[in-house]
Amino acid sequence: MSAPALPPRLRSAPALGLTARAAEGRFALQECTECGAVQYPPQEICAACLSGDLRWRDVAPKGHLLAGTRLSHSLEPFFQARAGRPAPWRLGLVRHESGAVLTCFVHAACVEDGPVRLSLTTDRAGMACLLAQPEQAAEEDPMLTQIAAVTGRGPALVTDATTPVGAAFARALLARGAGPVWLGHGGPLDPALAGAEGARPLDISALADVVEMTGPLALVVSVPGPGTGTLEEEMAATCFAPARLAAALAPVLAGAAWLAVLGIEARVPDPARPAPSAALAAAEAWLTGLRETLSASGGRAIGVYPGPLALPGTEEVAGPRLALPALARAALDALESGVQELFPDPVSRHLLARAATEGKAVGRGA
Amino acid sequence: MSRAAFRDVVLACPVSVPYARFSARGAQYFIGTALRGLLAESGLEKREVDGLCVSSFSLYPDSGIGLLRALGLQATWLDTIPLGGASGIVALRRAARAVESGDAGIVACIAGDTCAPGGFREATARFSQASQDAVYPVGAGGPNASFAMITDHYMRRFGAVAEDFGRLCVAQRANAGPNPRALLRKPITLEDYLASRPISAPVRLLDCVMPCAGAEGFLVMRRGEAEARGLPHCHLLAATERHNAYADDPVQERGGWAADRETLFAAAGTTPAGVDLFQSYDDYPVISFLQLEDLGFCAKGEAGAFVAAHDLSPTGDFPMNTGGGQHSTGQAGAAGGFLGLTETLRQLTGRAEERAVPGARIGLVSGFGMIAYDRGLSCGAAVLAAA
Repeated sequence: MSAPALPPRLRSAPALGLTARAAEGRFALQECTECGAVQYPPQEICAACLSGDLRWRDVAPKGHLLAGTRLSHSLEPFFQARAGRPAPWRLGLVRHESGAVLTCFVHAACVEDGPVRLSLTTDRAGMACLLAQPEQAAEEDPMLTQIAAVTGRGPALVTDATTPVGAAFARALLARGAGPVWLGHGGPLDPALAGAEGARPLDISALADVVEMTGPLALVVSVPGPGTGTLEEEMAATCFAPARLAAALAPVLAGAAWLAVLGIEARVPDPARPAPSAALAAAEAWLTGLRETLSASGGRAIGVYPGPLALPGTEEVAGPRLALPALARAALDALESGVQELFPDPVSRHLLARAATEGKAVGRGA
Repeated sequence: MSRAAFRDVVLACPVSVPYARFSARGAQYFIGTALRGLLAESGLEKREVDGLCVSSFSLYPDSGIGLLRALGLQATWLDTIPLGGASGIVALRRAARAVESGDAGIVACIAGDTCAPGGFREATARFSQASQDAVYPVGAGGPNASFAMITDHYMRRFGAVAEDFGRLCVAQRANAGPNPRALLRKPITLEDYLASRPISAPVRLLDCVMPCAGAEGFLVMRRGEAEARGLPHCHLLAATERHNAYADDPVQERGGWAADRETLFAAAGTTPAGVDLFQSYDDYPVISFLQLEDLGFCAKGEAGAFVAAHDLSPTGDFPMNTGGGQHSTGQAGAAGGFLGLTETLRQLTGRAEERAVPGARIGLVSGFGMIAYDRGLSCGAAVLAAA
């Protein structure tokens, strides 16, 4: 079987910056730090004042549809297969409120000369694309859902449903009624969860049988195993186990989403927890490779980087902690909206922002 | 700003290498065949051509210098013009100055491209960084969608309708009938135009040029040189080029011609009314409309009415794209930017055969090239006069 057609992936280095923001679900455009001119398409140098100091800045997602077209014919197989089916593929030039003119996919309900709400998402090739939608919520446009068609709806596998995080994802998936949910386990499962409608317990200690059991998967939720503190065990649970599982599942992962629940330590190491931090950083690097592999089949990899979680036994620890149902909800929503990197709580977002501006100061008590 | 007029620079020997929808031959073949045609037409020896100006999208990895080696030419002046549909006008301007200054005696200006099945996709995917980053990813491979958005804006801004564009396409196809070099010669009606399938609405199939393989070329030299050799020729009176004009217009509704038409006509010593035939750069009808307006044949937004009110045939009151233009001849890559020049040269030297514009003395040719993600970036125009 030949690989499915995907949207084109070739981009310049500056344009990959747009993909990086789309992956985080931000609406950011390149802006000149000297004269403030907003640039599009992404540039190496400011087209207004020639400063080389351009930065990405979150900007208001507001624009105005200047002109449009309805594409019935394309040179690219991905669009050839879709343009005109069921309707022509709608594109437009949108003038962002900064004055920059953007090429966007345009929702069927948008009106030429009218205002639009902009967003940035990733397409089926994992690359940034701009969407223009009506200001007021409108019905889903089938064209827009085709662009980012990786929804994870369908058969799902939670790698370890015996853990609190895994169980929370399993419950959230079952509540959404999304296909059978395979509950990976190597030990006893919560009987209420195992007996729920749609739940399929699956012993993942016998990797050789897993593919035969599950058949094609739409989603794998990889949750951290029970960490025991040593570097060897953290690496085994957080990095080696999912890597081995992904290798075993390769035949059934075409077009699927792999959602890895990691932790903010994957990006910002916690000096008090060196072994989990190192294992998470390793898992993050491995996930980047898996993303590239999956993208060849139109699949995608999503990393979730929460701060402290409200795990059983941590009730008396001070500080904000993210509730597990909220984590699962945010992660599954992110999957559907094309986000590839999710920082689901204020602590993770705070640490990410600090790390972005102060680098290695974070972790030195700063 | 005034521009120095050209002094005694002429064009001679229009050559067109027959177009083919697809070809297994490379760009070097088409460009080399055009050079061979120029030598045959002029009676020159290869060593007498000491300047070369070349344009091509498909010559990669070579530029002009690799081509010189491949063609066995020795030159004192060499240029490679990567400006697509503006390359003919720009090549002519540069060659003319080289000849005026004495840097070269006889310059061959040639544009040629091949077209392999699938080759157009490759070329458009890597056309420019802006196109790669902002157009190709949304499925708009090739210029259709970008021009469709310009067309959509023009229609809403100026109240133009499909019939306005259709009339131009029908007239050009009629002009192609007697042109043996045109790939598309079967007449079309306005009904055919309106019924042609949507490609990227509002652009229809019959709005689009057809990519093909081929080459165009001509020689540039001093008048005395052409006269001494007995070569039929026409004069270059004036020419302009302007790149990235009106970059702040949100959607392109004018081109650099609007900024330069006064200096162009002043340098040529004529006016739009003095033009006997006009070759617009006709990749899409809306772009021909912009040229009619920006070059002063009618007011902005009035091109549809202008086309409807005139007979565009060689014997009509406004001969335009007299060989059928790219729309009917085919677009042989960068050679599309030369087509208006070779056609006008034939007209002004009495070699347009059945397409001849009676008594034609002054021809205006315009060029337009290099679509970025939302607009074309290069504009040029030249006024030529019969000797």
